Amino acid sequence: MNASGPVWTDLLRTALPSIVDADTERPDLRTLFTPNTHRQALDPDVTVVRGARGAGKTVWFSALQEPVLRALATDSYQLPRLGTVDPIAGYGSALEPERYPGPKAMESLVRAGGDLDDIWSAVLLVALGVPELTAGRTWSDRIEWLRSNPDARDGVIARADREAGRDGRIRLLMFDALDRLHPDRGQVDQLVTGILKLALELRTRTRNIRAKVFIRHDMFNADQLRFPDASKLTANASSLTWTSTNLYGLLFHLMGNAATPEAERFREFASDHRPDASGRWQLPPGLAGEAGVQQGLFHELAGEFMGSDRRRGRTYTWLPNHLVDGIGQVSPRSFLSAVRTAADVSGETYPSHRYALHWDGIRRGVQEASTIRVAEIEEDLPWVADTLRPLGGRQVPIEQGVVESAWNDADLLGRLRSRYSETTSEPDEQVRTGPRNIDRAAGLVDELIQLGIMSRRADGRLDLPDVYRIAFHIGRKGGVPRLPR
Amino acid sequence: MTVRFDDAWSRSRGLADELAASGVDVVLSRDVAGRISLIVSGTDTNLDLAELSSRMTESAGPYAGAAPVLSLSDTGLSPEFFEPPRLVVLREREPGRGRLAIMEQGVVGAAWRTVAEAPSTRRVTLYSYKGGVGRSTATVMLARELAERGRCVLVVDLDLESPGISSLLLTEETHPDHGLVDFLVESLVGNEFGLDLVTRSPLVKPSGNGEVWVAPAAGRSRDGYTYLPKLNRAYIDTPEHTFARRLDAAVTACETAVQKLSRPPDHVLLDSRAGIHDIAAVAITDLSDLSLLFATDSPQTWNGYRQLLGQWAVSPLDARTIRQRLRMVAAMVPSAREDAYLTSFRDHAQDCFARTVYDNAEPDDQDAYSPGVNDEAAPHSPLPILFSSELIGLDPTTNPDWHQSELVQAAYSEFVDTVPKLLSDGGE
Repeated sequence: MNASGPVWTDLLRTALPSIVDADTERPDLRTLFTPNTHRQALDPDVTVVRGARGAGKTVWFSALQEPVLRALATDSYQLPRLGTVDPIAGYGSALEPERYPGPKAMESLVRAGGDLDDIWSAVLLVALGVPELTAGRTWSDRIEWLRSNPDARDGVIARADREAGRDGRIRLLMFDALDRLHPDRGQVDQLVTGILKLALELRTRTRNIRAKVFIRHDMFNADQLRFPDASKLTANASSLTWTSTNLYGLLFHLMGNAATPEAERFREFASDHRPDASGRWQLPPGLAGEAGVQQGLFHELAGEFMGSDRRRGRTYTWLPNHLVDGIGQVSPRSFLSAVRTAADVSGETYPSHRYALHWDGIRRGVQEASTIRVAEIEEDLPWVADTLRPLGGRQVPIEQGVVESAWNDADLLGRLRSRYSETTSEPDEQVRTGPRNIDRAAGLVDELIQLGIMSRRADGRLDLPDVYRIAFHIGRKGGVPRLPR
Repeated sequence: MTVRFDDAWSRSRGLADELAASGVDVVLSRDVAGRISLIVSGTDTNLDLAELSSRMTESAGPYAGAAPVLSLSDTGLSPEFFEPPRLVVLREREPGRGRLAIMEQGVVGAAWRTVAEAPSTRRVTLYSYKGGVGRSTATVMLARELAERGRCVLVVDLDLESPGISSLLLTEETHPDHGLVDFLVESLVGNEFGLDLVTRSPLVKPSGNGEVWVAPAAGRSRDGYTYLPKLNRAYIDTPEHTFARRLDAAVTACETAVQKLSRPPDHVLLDSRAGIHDIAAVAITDLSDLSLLFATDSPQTWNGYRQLLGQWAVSPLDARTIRQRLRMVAAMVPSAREDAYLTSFRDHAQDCFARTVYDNAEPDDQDAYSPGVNDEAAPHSPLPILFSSELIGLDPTTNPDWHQSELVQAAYSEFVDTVPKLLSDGGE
């Protein structure tokens, strides 16, 4: 095996993506991995699917719309009902003005006033194919029509429900990218509440029309749920999470499914790969879900310990442990990027190392991944980066008062307010929701804690996990001075 | 203003800093009573010693030594005397700057300062700052687990003040004639050979090739066998026979005895006494390659550990060496609220280690060793031992099979599964 070190290094470098951002990431047959923890989220009857940044909300939102990938998920999760689903996008990051209002249209609809819930009714009726609402109309026309034909809505829904039932199908209206609905957080909260109300209505009043809402944890909370029976949505909500075994499963899946001869050697080495109906290679069950089996294989790729000293930790646990955020989550993208960088560094700096991954490469990979994590955040929650930047050059744990005065000096609240409280976005500008609390620094801290960016120590001080700490040039307090380098 | 113990030290330290900055080497020396002297040396020492002495007398008050400032030649000792490990270097020489070092003399706690570079890798110390946290029981459970894996294990009772572990592992009839305490006094006069120090535990019966041996603190109780007069002399430091060296020799003698009677022990578990005593200091810093530090999540405990770890933090080099050999054990974790308890424990433990022995990581210093709270491989990350009220009823002395109970096994499972992985051979 040890002679194969360079082979696996090459395989890792071809199988793993270099940096990609979520919007351009389209799952395909070979790369779509089906972690066992995601099964419940795909059940057509599960309405709310919570997921952190990079947990795979958009991946599943897109995959379910692709017949081949949907079939793959149906098969892999043994979820026959998923095979009867006709998915329709109710909101997403792609521009599809025929299906839902784009950012500019949404802003003018919100500005025009009236019941925001009508927007989603219009989206639903368009999805169900009401002739009066299709082709050639603007969204304000459609909403106008809806308001002047108040009786039409229920009839359309009932008819569509009957037809779907007759055909044995489920119409599934899916919502993603909710942080792009509107720049103002208050408006987003209202729009999201509208989606959730519609989703609940479909669940209680129809048998064959369902909604699926992919949503970040911080956007699905008590404020969104102040309407009758909202607790039913919480009760069957599901979460997209990645355990360490899922992450390693994904890694091995990508290695076994790369289109290179090394992948074939890998499949022989990690025996018992099976092709499934779609031609994709399926991992042996142990490699997909058993920590012990995965650890054995990873030790063959990376050695057992992070250096010559066993107390520096085991490679298998060290990697996810150092990528974890404040709420115990590791994004698959940062995990893969860490391994990819580790392979690059190992191949270039340690070509004669006995393993494919040198521990120093793993260490550098984790440092690099921390910048990926930041890019993810910049993309999803640009304001979070704004809150961390003024802390650069300091050390954690840090008193909240120090954080607040650093924010003060940078006029953070003022800048957030001017960015997010009024609608100033240009047509091309990507809409991103701001924080909920732009009036109080303390509220902003709570929001950062909720998002897993910060954590509060037992003594009240604020701490940051290494992923964010390193990327934002923040140190960690300690008692031993460093030797001058 | 009255100058108290701590004031005297920090003021003298300030003066020493100033002198070192001017280019001379300074040793800050404190005697048994706490009296402080500065010993200065340098290439062109034309210091006004009389003026310095009066400044020292002022700074240290009653804690100023009889000769508050001495030049190295005045001490009558060779320069080699003033080298590690006798002293701890706080700051090395730099161009234009002298070396600053401290020397603590002949007191309990002095042993905490020195850290052996390469202690025996088969020895593991189990230490607790406070007593009554189940450390001895954990030692027995660990010995049992290692023996079940086919290992030869020696348990040494270093809790000389309140020996206890032998009653968990031995019966009256199987108790050896002598104990550690006998070795410690006999070795003062070079008479330590031929002692009967170890015996095989009749109570732990591993299924395979494993063996558990015990070296008790005291010998078998019998007419004419005394303990207290020996205990009073056990800790004595003489120039030829320091306590640390005699303790090391005692443990080695036990290891050799097991080797003669059976085979070389694969693991030696040192059940250290609680508190900040020299015996614990030596066990942790000199004797063993891994020290398991038992704690409950209480302010007094963390305060104690902060003091203790702070002793090593005096020397960055020692801190770097010792921190890799430590691992926290969360003792008596209430099983009903395990997660919340461990979360709080982990937080306090990280804080304690960070303030003392972890590196101070400046921004962008990516090579610093400064693990965050949730780093599971870090020394502060606790290995839990669960506690539930059902365990109280289990009295090991009346129930020799106590360690076979399912409740006990469940409580210790994570501890005994993880510790072998930290041993030099990974427990394989």
